[in-house]
Amino acid sequence: MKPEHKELVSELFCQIFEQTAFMFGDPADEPEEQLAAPEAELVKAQMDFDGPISGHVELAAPLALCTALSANIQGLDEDDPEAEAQALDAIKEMLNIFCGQALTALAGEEAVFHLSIPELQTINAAAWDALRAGEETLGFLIDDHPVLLQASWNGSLE
Amino acid sequence: MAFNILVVDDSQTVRAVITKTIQLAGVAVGEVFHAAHGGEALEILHQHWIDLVFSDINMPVMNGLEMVEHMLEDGLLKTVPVIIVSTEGSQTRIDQLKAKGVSAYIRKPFTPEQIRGVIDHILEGKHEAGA
Repeated sequence: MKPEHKELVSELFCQIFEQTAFMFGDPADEPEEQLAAPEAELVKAQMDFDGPISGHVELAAPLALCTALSANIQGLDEDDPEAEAQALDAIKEMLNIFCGQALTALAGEEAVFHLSIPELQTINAAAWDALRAGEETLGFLIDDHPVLLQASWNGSLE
Repeated sequence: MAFNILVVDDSQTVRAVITKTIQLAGVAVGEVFHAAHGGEALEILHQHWIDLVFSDINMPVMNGLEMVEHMLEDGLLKTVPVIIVSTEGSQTRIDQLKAKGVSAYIRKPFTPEQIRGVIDHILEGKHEAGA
């Protein structure tokens, strides 16, 4: 990812959390410390896209962030059972929203993309660390939760 | 007059948010139906009177565009207003949808005001038509 694309993607990612769920975040400025695998249940959502450029996006986060996200989106308390019940759905939808917005920002309003349906899996600390070490991975703190985002694509955005 | 609304999205979170927004909008809502994809939506449309449909595009089994195309083939369903609520931002895609008769397009993330504005606009037209 070119530096200008990383900047655009980072800004948009934080903006989407703010607009969708009133959750505030920034790129991690001390990644070694801030993005170490938390001792918590971890999940990873992923989806593909196909169009003028084709690629793959992954988003990893602790389950606690997903529950907070679900609660905020729905206007519920975090300990509301419905917030927990929809936590995994909420993070998949967040990835879906981000992907749609990012592709328009990167490729322009005339470009047509096909987006896959987001999928989700639980991951362990080793998988988290592997994702964190990825060249195209960006790390964030969203409401003090570490979040990893990896976006990669083939094709040119010229 | 109370209006029946159908919300079509594979995300239960999104369906819940749209439903809550509709209920808080002060619209005279009769019943709000939910579907996780276009196929389920068509079943509901054939079984219940629906005044307005909110639908995502990208869904499993049957996507929103396919659902709209099926509705257009039905003499009664083609008159039901459809509002697309989607992450897609392609103007080309939006133009395609509007050419197929979609009443409005709202991009995610949406604000409650956008949902309310569209409901007011479309249901006002239906109310006046029925008067």
